[in-house]
Amino acid sequence: MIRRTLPLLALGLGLAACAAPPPPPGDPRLIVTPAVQSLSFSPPVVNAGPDGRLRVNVNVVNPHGGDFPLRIQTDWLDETGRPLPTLQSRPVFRSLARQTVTTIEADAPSPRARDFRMTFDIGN
Amino acid sequence: MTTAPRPARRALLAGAALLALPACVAGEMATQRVDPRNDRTPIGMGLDNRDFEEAARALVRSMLDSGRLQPRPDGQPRVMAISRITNDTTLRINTNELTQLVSVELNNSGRVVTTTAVGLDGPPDPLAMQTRQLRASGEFNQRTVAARGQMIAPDLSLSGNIIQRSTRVDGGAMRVDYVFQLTLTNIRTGIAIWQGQEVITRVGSGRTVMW
Repeated sequence: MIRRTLPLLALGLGLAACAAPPPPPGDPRLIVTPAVQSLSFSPPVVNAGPDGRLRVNVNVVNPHGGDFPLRIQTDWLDETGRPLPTLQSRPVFRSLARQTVTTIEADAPSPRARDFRMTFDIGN
Repeated sequence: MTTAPRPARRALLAGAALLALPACVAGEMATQRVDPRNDRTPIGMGLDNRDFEEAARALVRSMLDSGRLQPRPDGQPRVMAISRITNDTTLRINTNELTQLVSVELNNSGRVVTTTAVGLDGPPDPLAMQTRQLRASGEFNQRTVAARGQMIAPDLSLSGNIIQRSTRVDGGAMRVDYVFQLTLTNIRTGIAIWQGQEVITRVGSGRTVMW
């Protein structure tokens, strides 16, 4: 009995290791808190609009069987690295539908924004 | 000294116990400072500052993305005046809370500036006009007094509504939709160059009363 159980247990542990959360994104502009590390984040796609404002898209995959509440906060930084005071930096709440990809978009408030920092956390 | 009859005394005691009960249940909450950038305090069925910020953020983003806020022919930003924002909710709302957030964000974008010399019920800042009376005063260096024809008339008008719709949903809960509607009108033509709407919804206890 024990001989049969042990390989099954080992198999179970091996599968659990395969289902381990994906590594956090390597881009330093994306900050992923431990609470949301079970989601997958694509590298950010950054474009400048016709008016010179930066636009950022990040695809987030929710692999779970239920919807996932996500809180996103984007700080926009000027050429000296200081955050611009703007409503666009206030937290945004999104509910990620189960087992789907959701595109998170953020638009800079003005052409003065040269860089960004996007923080992902659970939306409780 | 007279003593109350026994049933009355019982009623008094029961009343006092009932009054004391909510205090025991609720407990005392210590006053805390809230960081507006990391405000995770509970929400209610009414609107708070976070909702106004959320509505203003989404509406300004829509305005800027519309591509309709092009600069004036001389390259200067457009000039906006604040018109009527109607509060059609059961809440007591100072609509300046919304218009101030919108105008500050638009000013920061570099596309729009706001005039305080023109308003629906008189200028928001009457001093700009009143200082013109200094032209008659010999006490002021007239080179420092605003000359005629220096004010810039608005070419955009911002108007809107805040609407509330309450519905009872399954399970006795209450759903409340707050609809923020804004319109930017080209004052020269009277045509709305941009219109936007942002809805903020709550679902909560049906016993909640809002005002």
